[in-house]
Amino acid sequence: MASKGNLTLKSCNGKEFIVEEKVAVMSTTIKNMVDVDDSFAQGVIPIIGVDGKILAKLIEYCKEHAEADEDEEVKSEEYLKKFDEKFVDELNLNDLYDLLKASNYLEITKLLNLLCQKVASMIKGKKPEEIRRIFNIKNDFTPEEEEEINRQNPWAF
Amino acid sequence: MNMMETNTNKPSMVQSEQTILPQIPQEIIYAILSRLPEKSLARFSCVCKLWHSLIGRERGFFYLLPKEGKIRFFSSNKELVVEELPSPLENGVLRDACFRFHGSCNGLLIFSLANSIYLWNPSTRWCKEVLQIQPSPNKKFIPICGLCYDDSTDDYKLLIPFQNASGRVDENFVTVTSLRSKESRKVSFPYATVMRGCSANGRLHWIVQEYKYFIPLLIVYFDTKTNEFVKLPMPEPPFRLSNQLQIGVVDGCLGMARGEDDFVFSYGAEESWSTIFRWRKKPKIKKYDGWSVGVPVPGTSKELLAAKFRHTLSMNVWDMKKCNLFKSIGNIDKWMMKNHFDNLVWETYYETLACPDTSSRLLLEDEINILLD
Repeated sequence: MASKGNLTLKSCNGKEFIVEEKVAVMSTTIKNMVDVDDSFAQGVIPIIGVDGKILAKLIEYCKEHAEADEDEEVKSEEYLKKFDEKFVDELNLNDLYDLLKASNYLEITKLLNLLCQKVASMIKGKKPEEIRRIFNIKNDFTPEEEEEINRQNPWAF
Repeated sequence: MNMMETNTNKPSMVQSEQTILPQIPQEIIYAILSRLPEKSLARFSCVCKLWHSLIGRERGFFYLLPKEGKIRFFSSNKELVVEELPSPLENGVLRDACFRFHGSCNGLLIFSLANSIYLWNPSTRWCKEVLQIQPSPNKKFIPICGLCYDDSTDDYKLLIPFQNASGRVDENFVTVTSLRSKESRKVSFPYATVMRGCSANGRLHWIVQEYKYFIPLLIVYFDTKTNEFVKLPMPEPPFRLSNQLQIGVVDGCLGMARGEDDFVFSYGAEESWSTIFRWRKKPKIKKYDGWSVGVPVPGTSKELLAAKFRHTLSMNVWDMKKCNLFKSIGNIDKWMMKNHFDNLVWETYYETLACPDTSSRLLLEDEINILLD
């Protein structure tokens, strides 16, 4: 049972994390749950579809940012920037994907922005066929249609 | 049996090192795409139909209209049906007194309200003030500015022309400010004034007057590599005494129509003009009527040319490939037609996700004011 000011988050594979409320409410989804229903603040909040490993990562991120929001002197903008860089650099593609989905579901806007930026910089120089492979996308254009689209943007290649 | 066991025990082996991401929700794809440079977006529009529609390189046209102090914005959809756009500014009401539309680049529209200059992407509803210009007694701001895109650095540049109070044309200059690095520089701009601007493929073109009251109009463009303005040669005969020079985007290139010509030209990758359209029967354009060159209709693979006629209260759109009238748009909005057609301004714009460096501050006045001192 979480003490006052703390919330308990439970991953889909049953791992429980006790976190400070200010850290948990970095997630708009959790904030709304707590605001609307007081029983969540007392009991355990199930985080659907997010496993323990990813939830730990999310909490690590939210903790740093919540602390920085509270006290800029201890965690400066510079420090946060470095933290963010290191945070995304250490992710493998699968974790990146899981975190993207989880931060989207939990509405952790700052993290979602950071992760999207990371994916964008990863893919910006790639060729269309590489993009299809990475995102597991089937090319649903006919060769003629594809040629016509590319003809309109000759400077892009 | 054995196979099944292998599969269930080692699910990660199914996916190779070059991991393949399972289906990503559409809103995340959109968020990722909106952070990509223009060049990547253009390249990725052939990935699949979903990405193509999200990237949306399709284009429509746009215009605005001051009425009783309020400005309304419209855009055409695929069928050339006109729809009203939400106001770019949060308070919703734009006063027309000091409103001016300056042009567009990669789907970003640039407008000013009083002394403030804004960038606006109507497709994503992103709008941001980029700077305020404080008029100074010895430097006069020519009231049109422009935006160009440098794909080698994935950077937008804001260009603002200034007239020197001395009245000497050769002392006029343009400030060029990078939206990424926020660095500004002064570039010589020996022209009297700018009439109109248009960005084609990121390159900013301005119709300029070389000397005051000197009618032949020229087209210059800004070269982002050399940071200089370059004159475009004009097709023969080079000088026409006409104020009906209009430019626009045709098939990704600069298009141009002159009042007395029977042709529409486009300036292609081979750096020369070619004729792309010829009227069978040319409509008469009066002084206050206007052309809009290159108004492509999305999804029809037609490049169109539009004109508005004050006296017939209609807008006509020609198919540039077939050289015939494609559609006449009458009664776009009865209220508008009846009272305020004179105030109609229109522009071509692309629907894109383009958005310059949103993470950091965009106000640039400090940088520009240093140059002006």
